[in-house]
Amino acid sequence: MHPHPRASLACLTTVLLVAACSPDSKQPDTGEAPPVETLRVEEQTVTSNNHGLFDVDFEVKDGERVQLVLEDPNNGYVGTQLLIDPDGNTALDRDDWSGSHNELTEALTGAQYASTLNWPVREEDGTLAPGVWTLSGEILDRTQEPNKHADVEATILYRTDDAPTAGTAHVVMAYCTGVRDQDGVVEAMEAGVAYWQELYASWGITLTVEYTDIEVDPALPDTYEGVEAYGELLAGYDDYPLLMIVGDDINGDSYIYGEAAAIPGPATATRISAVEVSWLAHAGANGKFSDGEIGILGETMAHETGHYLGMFHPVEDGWQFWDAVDDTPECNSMSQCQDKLGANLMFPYPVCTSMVDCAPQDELSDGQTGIIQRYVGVD
Amino acid sequence: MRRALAFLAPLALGSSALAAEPTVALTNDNVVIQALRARSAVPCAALADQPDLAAELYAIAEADVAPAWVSLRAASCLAERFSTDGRFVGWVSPWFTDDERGGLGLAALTSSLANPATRSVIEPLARQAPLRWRDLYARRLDAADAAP
Ligand SMILES: [Zn+2]
Repeated sequence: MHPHPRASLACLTTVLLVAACSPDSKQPDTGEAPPVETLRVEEQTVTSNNHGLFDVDFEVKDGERVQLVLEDPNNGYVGTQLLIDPDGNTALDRDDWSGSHNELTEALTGAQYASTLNWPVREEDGTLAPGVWTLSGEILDRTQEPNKHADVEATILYRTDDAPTAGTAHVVMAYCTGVRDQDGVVEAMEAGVAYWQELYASWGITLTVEYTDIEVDPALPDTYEGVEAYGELLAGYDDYPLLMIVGDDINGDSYIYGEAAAIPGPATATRISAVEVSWLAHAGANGKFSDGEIGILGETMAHETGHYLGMFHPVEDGWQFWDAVDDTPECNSMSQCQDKLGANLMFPYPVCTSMVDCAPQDELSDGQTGIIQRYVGVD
Repeated sequence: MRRALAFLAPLALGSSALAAEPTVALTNDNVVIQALRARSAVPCAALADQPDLAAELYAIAEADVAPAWVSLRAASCLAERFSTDGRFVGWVSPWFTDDERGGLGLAALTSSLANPATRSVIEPLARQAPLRWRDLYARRLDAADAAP
């Protein structure tokens, strides 16, 4: 059920600017033909009508996939209701998913600060036909009432990709204040990153990781709340890296191991554009990393990044909700799901074969792999 | 790299005279351990009511259970639900003197911040913890005091 009327009214749409951006643009002039532009970016500010509804029109070129990041400058809630193709057909409808036991994208749920729709999600969602598409969305104020005549900032990223089953992603790993000084943390993080890189390489994604520091309290807020400094750090990069924040713990809980802001998270620079990792939750009671704990740390990085790039758990704990991917096995009990999916990277918890030994979670189905390869921040 | 190492450390209880031997025998299919393994946080209030859940949580906190957050969650739930148990102070005190168990101390301290009575028990212990952990504890206490 929708609490609010469906998007049916045209609202004021103001196109502010169209900017082109390519990671290739910095390459030296070799006298050869310029490389194919792989990413272009457009920004719009649109205004909601008196039901809190708005439309974003955007023109897709042949072979592009897109990501739309919707931001509310007043920090209310924003989300997607419909995606309409150039022929007027509905490609995505919140109504089709709102009562479903399968999860496709949190863009339909809406979020505070920023909401991200990466499209297509799955192979069966098809490719984007060239032409003008329309996203119809909804903006609510902080009391969750329709926000009338409110501005929504939309950033649209268009990616063309010669090799859709292979790609690279730039990761910035940022240590919060004082974390680097903790014994063994830097070494453990780098070992975890090596495992994470190995896992993603097996799915066709090369991760290039750089390390930096960020002046943020290491007692991290949850990623849904985010930190202004995350967006400020990312704004200094022009290739839309993925930000991983390393703190002591998250949301005041010394046992939350990691958290992604959204499924998917925004490729653009916003206050929620981050995956957070707690070093303490992995190091455990003694604050020191064993080899096993480093393995789980690497899988945490891969798992949380997997959420950020668009993957849900193949089945949720409780066995009543599943992802929308066809080739992850069906299951509906703990024993059955552990048997069929326990080795999957995105299984909701580690499956431990003894008190001290958990099985590796290093598998993804082809359908899951396709989701992360289609994320617009992955070239 | 694959995770295949069984790090079979014995239950190290440190040298503190206050350390109490856990009396609950744990197995890998223990329902509380299973609940605490979930990647998404399980509310302490939702844990199954075992005959002596407090002792079970203490045993889990003290045990070498993978993944590492299981013990931390157990420590946190122990402080959240059983701080008035007569055994509580004896159980948690070593977490604030033994450098190898300081993570349990942080979990208990963090959990105590929502309950002034529990905090009044734990904060003095935290203020005297080994240096490596004391700074972390102090930051946590300061942040709680600074919160609106
Ligand atoms: Zn997850």
